[in-house]
Order: sequence, then C-alpha cells, then structure tokens
Amino acid sequence: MSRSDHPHNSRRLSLPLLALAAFGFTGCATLKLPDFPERSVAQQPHRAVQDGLAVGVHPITEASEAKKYFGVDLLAADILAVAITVENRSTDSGFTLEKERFRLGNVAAGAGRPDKESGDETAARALGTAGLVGGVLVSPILISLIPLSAKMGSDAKIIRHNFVTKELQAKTVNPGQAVHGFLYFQLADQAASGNDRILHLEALELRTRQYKSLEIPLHWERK
Amino acid sequence: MRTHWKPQSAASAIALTACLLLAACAHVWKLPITPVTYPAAEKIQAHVHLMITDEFKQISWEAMISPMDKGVIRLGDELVRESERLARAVFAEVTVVTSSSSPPAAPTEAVLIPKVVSFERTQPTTIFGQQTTTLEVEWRLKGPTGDTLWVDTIKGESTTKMGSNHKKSAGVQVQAAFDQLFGDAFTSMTSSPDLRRLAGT
Repeated sequence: MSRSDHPHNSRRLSLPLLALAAFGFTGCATLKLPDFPERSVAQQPHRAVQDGLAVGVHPITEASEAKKYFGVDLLAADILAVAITVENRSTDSGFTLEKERFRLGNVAAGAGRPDKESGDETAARALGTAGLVGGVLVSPILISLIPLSAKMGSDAKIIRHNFVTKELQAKTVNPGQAVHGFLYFQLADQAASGNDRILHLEALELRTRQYKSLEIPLHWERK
Repeated sequence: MRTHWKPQSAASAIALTACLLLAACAHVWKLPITPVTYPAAEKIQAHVHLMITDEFKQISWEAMISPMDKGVIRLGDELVRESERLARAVFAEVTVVTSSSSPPAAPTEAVLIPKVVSFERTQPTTIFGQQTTTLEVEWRLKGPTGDTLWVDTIKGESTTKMGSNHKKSAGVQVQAAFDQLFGDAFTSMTSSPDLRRLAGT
C-alpha cells in the first residue's frame, strides 16, 4: 500500500474538506424570512369594528419579532411595522382600502375624526396635515435603503423583497373576505407621545360611496 | 517618429473601453411568455377603456447577477398584451387607449388602469439557493368623473432553485408569476359583486 492510499491519510484530508464545505455552505446560506401568520381580527391585540368593517392590528414592537419576520430591528431605526387584518362582515358591499388613507396619530395631539363618513376629500387631507404627526407612512423601498444592520450587505435583496411584497396595497375587500398586509411608519415626535399612538383609517364603502372611519389606539413598551 | 502621449486621447480611449465593457455585460433576456388561459365566465356587460400608460409599457427588472454581468428583463410588451386579453375576457367591450391617444369618441362606463406596483427578484448567493420572483399589479377602475369605482392589487410569485442558467430560471419564475397574477386578477374581477352591480349584470 502506498503512503497516499493509507486510510488514515484520506480521513485526514476529508475532515478538513468537510469542515470547509460546511463553513462555506453556512456562510452562503440564503436568509429565510417566514411569513407573518395571517390572523383574524379577533386574534389581533388591537381592533375596532364599525358598520360591517372590522380591522385588527399588531404593531411589531419587539426586536426579536422584527428580526424574525423582517431580518432587522425596525424600531431601533424608529420604524413601526404594523400588521393589518381587514374583514368585510357586510353582506352586500365591498370596501376599498388605500394605504394613503391609513395614518398614525399622536394621542397627545388629540386628533379626532374628520367629517366622519362624509367622503369629503378636504376633510381627509386636513386629517393628514393637522394633528397627525405620530408617524409618516414610509415606502418599503426607502426602508430597505436604511443601513439597519450588517445583514443589509449580503441579504439586502431578500430583506428588500420581503418589505416590498408584504406591504398592504390598494384592495377591494369583498363581502365575507379578509385581507392582510403590513404598513410601515417612520415614527416622529416621540418625546410628545411616548409609545402611545392612534391608527386612523378610512375605507370607501362602494355601495354607498361613503367613507367609513375607524380609530385604533396602540400602546407598546419599548424594550 | 516619436509620438507624444496626449492625456485627452488616453481619457477618451479609457471612456470608450469602459462603455464597451459595460455594454457587453448587460444581458437582456427576452422571455418566451405563454399567454394565460382564462376559464369561461359570463362577461360583465360594460364598455371599458383599457388605459396603457408609458410607465406600464416600459416596466423592467435589472440587477447585477455577477460582479461583471447585469441581467435585464423587459416585460412591458407581454404585460400589455396579456392585460388586453384579460380585459376582453372580463368585459363585453374593450377599447385600448394609451396616454398619448386622442380623447375617446365613444362614451364608456369606465377606464381600467393597470399599474405595476412591484417587480422584485431575490438574488441567492449561490446557484443552489432559492430565488423568488414577484410581480404585483394594481387594477384600478375609474368612472367617467375620475373617481375610483373598484381597485385590487394582485400578486404573482414563484420560487425555484436559481441554478446556473439565470435566463432559464427567470423564464420559469416569470411565467409562473404571470399565470398566477392574471389568473387571480380574472377571478377577482369576475367575482366582484360591486363590478357586476356597476354594469347592472
């Protein structure tokens, strides 16, 4: 038996090769971000119901949860991701949702509802500019440009893809149906409001052409 | 004869070479997308204009697929063609108009406007990694006064192993995303009670 054919030699060679391969595969492993569970309104920690429109929300306020589902600690960068479930419990009309009609307000500012159910565009615009400074709706593409962590280097495309494709988009919720998605808010004026906010939303009832307004108070402990 | 080195000539040569190199590294993939087959369904009895915007016609994805190579997927032509097929499968009468078209002579009940919300692809670090392609299109139906009568955003998504042939995996993923996107858009439109009510059917 030649020296190179000795079984001990091949074992000596194969072990480092295996270790190198294992290291290589671990280092190049593709980041996997699980889907956030689609919960009913009743299962969401914050919710409101009005005239057949039910909305439940779950703000992502724990670093571990944000890292699990988005790959980064969003709140550390003052970005609040909110998981939203909307159920249409009416029997005869759809509701349209537009993300621009979701706004995050300050409790301290005492922003009340605008001309409720009037569908008045002026009132809606006023809501967006007066009293509602608790958070600004932010594009997921812009979030993905923020260097939130070292992960952004190698896994940036997966994190960006996840942000963009999980965002709640314009939808009509048909009777008996539910939709799920995320909205992202850049938090502002934290000194004034602490961790208390109000999520305001308006949905257009297609049968009556009137907007239904809902307000959902949110509170969380920053850890 | 001795030639003198000219900085301007050297700069021009470098710029030209850089341009040639960059141009040579862009791979524009023309993907053979098969048209979607729609199930038979009662059409909504309405005359709609399908509005094709310049932005919709020019949608593309591009990214560096290696340090020296850029992959480009242009989907505008396929999206326009399939949007018209979808609209004709859903509505009784369809007129295709573009942003630059003259104002329509015939009255219509509504204008259907498709808009690409996202065309995203992940890039795994190795050819063994899973790659996902996502295509999202918003379908907005506006009335004669410009108000939204109905809107839905539909997502088509496909995940496969990336493999060593980037164009092939792109073709498989985009086709699957296309099928899901237009199939679900057809279902959403034809099953909407509000769309049926608008048309009185």
